Amino acid sequence: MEIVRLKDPKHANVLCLLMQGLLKAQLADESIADRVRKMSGAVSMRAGLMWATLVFDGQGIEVVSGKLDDRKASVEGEMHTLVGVVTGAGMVGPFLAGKIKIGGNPFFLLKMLPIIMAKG
Amino acid sequence: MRERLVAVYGEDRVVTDPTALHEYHDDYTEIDGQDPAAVVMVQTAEELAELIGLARELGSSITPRIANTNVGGLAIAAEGGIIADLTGMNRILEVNVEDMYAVIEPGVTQQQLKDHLVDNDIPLTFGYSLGPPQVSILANCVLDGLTNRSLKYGSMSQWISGLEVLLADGTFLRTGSWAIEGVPPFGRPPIPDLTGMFTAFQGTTGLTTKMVFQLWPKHPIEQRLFVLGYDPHSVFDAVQRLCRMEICEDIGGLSWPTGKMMMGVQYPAPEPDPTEPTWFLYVDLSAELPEEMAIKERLLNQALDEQRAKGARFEAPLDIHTLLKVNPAMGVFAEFPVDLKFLTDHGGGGLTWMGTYGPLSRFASCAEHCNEIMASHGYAPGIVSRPMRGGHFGVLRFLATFDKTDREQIEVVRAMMADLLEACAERGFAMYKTPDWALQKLKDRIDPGTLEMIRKVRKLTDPERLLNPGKWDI
Repeated sequence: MEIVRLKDPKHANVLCLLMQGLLKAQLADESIADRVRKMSGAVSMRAGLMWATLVFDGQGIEVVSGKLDDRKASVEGEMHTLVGVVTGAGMVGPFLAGKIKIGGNPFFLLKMLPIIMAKG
Repeated sequence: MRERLVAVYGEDRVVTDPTALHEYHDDYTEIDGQDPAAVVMVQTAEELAELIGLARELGSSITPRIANTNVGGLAIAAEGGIIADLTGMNRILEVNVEDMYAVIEPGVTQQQLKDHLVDNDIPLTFGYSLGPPQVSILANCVLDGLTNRSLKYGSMSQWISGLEVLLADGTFLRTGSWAIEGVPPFGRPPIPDLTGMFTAFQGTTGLTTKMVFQLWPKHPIEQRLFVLGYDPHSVFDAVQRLCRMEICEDIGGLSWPTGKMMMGVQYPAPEPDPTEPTWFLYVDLSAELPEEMAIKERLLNQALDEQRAKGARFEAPLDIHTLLKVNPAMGVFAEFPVDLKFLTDHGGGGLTWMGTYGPLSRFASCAEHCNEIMASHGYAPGIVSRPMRGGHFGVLRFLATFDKTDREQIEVVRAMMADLLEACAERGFAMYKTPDWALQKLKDRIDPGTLEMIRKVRKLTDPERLLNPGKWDI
């Protein structure tokens, strides 16, 4: 089974496709992949109007279009802010500046952050 | 035939083996293929002239071919025809840095000329088609295609400062200032411009053996930004505004399925997710100074803010290098020329398109209507667009991938392309690199006087129809 899976690719939104590409590149690093295999729970993300949910299922990550009610946490912001988060700004600065909204368990988000912070 | 050809060109440069000939059978499209009778690897203009004479003697014909990435059946031989493979005529004969032109042969590729300019530290550049690196610059010019600098400098025939053409009778002529002894090839004025007799005629009036090609300044600061928009009307309004600001090197528009295909979804659903952007604009800016770039970025944001003030939604511009960090698949848009393998490296191998030039004012309504047509055939609307010549017109091109072994799917594609052609023609768009199937549908719309003159030109230049028969066949 692939460690990053995209649910229903035909209908996946652009945010899901971006996240899938990011995660595939990130999880090529075995230390990050190991960390992912120890996580379970879902995080929904909104960029602009689009929602995508990352479902950590102990084997990898499934990327799903839309938000799940049964989620551990959520992050919301404009597209460029979210892109900034994953390309180096992290969450703390944008959160303190009021540019992103976070919900649910912040510790889960902090645990997820290194996984989605692009190395490239 | 083989003996005659081998006697002139040698064993190594003549192909008559049926298996090898089949490699020249077709292109990516749904257009029916045809094995040529022979393929000859031509290396000089004189050899090509001799081949025309041989074709006449043998009762055959000549179809020129280089990369065969043209997806309109234009480089498929007629029955019993010979393919002149011009990949060996690939010399860059001159690059004049001061007067900004290059003299090139038909086989010179996009990558080859780019490498030449870079390797020699020449501060000039040119435009790249979305074809792969190995495509011929000359072929794209004489077929009047486009590149990523067509916004500033027009369709590719407009980049030609002069041609050397081989006629069917074996004689050569030059067009442009180059035709006057001692005058360098600076442009097509001031003598009567015969260049148009050999552009967009698809090789039926003469075979171009050399081209004087305009090069343009390469500015030290360059930036490619992606702007995501949500509806075609505001997107094309913004494009028109940006054209009039005259700040962009290029503005390319991709519909959401094209963007999704780039990110690995071979067949996206015909309808978008209602929350996602439906148009990806990539905007190229260049500048001599950082301050100039900052002003251009400011103007770009101003154009978007003007649309936002009217209620439109646009995401803030994202730099391609930032996007590349997010998703490596975006790398195909980081550097041109590029091989868009997602269009061809799929199980079925088929790729077709219906590409039109038309007025920007009608882009949104035409795109919307054609979206519906593609969806009605079960296809997601893969569209590529670009304003050209400062916004006087632009390209609206519809793409579809398919399985070349699936006859049923091929028939769907054919019907869809015909519907798209009709819809675009009704809205004032004209197909470029026109394949024969489209020409037969369009010819009734062409002015009778124009058609008659085209016939006369063809009869004058190639009365025996030796050159690429079956194209522009009216």
